[in-house]
Amino acid sequence: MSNKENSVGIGLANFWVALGFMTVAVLLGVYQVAERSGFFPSLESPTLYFASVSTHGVLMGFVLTTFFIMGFGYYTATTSLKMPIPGKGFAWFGFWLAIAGTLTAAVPLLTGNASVLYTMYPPLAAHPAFYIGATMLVVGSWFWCIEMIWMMLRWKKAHPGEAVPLVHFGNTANAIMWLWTTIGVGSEALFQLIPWSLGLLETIDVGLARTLFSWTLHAIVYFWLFPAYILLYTIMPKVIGGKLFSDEMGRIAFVMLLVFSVPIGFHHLYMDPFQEAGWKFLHMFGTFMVALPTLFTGFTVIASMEIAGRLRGGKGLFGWISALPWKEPVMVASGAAMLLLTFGGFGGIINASYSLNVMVHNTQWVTGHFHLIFGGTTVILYFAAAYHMFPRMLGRKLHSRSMAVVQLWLWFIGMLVLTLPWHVMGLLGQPRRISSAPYDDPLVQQWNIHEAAMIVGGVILFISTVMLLWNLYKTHSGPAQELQMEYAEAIHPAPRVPQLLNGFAFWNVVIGIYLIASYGYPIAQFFLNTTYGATPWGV
Amino acid sequence: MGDLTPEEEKQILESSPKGTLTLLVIFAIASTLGWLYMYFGMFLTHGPVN
Repeated sequence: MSNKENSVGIGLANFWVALGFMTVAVLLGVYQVAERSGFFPSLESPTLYFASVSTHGVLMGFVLTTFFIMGFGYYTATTSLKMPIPGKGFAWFGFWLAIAGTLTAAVPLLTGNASVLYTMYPPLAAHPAFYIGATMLVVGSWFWCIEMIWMMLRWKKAHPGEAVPLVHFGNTANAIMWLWTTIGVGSEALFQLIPWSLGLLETIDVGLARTLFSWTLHAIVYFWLFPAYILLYTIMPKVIGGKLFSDEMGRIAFVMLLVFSVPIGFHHLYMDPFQEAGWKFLHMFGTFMVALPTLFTGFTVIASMEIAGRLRGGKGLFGWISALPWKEPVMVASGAAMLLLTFGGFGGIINASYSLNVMVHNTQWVTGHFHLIFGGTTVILYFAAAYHMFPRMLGRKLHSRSMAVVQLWLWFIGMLVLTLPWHVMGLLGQPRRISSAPYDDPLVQQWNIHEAAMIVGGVILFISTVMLLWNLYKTHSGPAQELQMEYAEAIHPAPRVPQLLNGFAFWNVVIGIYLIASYGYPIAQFFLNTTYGATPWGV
Repeated sequence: MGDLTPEEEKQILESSPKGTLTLLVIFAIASTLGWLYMYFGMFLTHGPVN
């Protein structure tokens, strides 16, 4: 069995699980925009709506992402390192554990017993099966993390002194970041939510729980984004006929993402009372720091596009843009993702600004922001990865390249039509996470045009999803075509790089110190300070 | 790409990405102006929602 074949089965299994659950989530999304618009009274049901929102969020944010990232990691690891997955049974066990966790959590979600808005923010409480299932999903993903780290160590041992291929350097950075990231929500689930939901604890400290969840809540976004960035650095330049502007810049960006993304979660707690303003202010600076690797990525990726455009004959300051291969799905998705990242990034700067956050906190603006970053930038690049990898994994021609291009443009348009009105509605005062509003109020009447737009956006996204699934499904039975999985070369290839950009031991120490500095006292205070009437030790 | 001589290709690979830098400068200016508008134009003048 070749290295490629070694990862095809587990890669495709992960991809199809991710895409299958994503389809359910998109369907629920269409229902949600119709329900909350208030235009269809027969659809209105807060109970069903909140169950649907919770399921939609969990499927998109936890299930689609985790499985897709695992599939992407396994396939890119074997094809870039040119070595098989070690301990294949170990990897499959993690996959099946994650499946079992997803199904366990799905039962209370679909029966309305886990309508906690896809979060782990008490006092909202779910059935224990939800917390146990979610924990199993996360633990299943840890098997993938261990595999990624294991493969990097084995490769380095076999290639002493050589630079780990950038693709797998990114995969491993993401795996390590995910392990650090899940400490927060894992502790919350293990010591608070599961015992509480089982009735073993009568009360829990909501402040501690929300602080622990904030540990995970922002870094998870970078867990989602990592494969998207890896594609932009290592696959896109090759596909469009160019070279990567800088291999080292990619390594620096991945290390910065790893270090900066975890200890900044308090910008999700700006309006919560149990953390002091000073800590929030410090986390605000940390949040702005994490914009740096994204800016580095923006520069390196666009510069790589510019090189490709000029090599294809593009002239002048911007003539290279039109010279790019816009009939290539990876190019379309990359261009769309960068544009959506521009809009979403701007919204993120507003959210992260401590004072400005007051204006948009818990409004529909926030929903618009994270849909742009996740549904826009991240997921559209997942689609590009699928279009690129499925033919190579299956040894078959993509069913329809033109359909793929149309599908990606539809997704891009649908996402803008859906999310830009949400930003406006947020500024007009619409709260997020509402199922309905009194639509005769003059304030609320301002929302109507935007409510109509979001339904159109939701329908466009659903049509786009159907096209994606059909195209990938038909690729399984398409004509045979042997394609190699190739990665972009840098303009100046770096066979050897400084150890700090070729391993993570030092950076793990830095993360540990940074986490203690930013979360140490804010967590310790729940155990050190006496809160009258609360249980000792805060749990 | 096939129409380029090796010298032209080398020149492109070693040139500064002027278009990229210009795009990023435009983005930085637009973001700064947007932030200032959000702060001074919307936030400070916002008042309560009623």
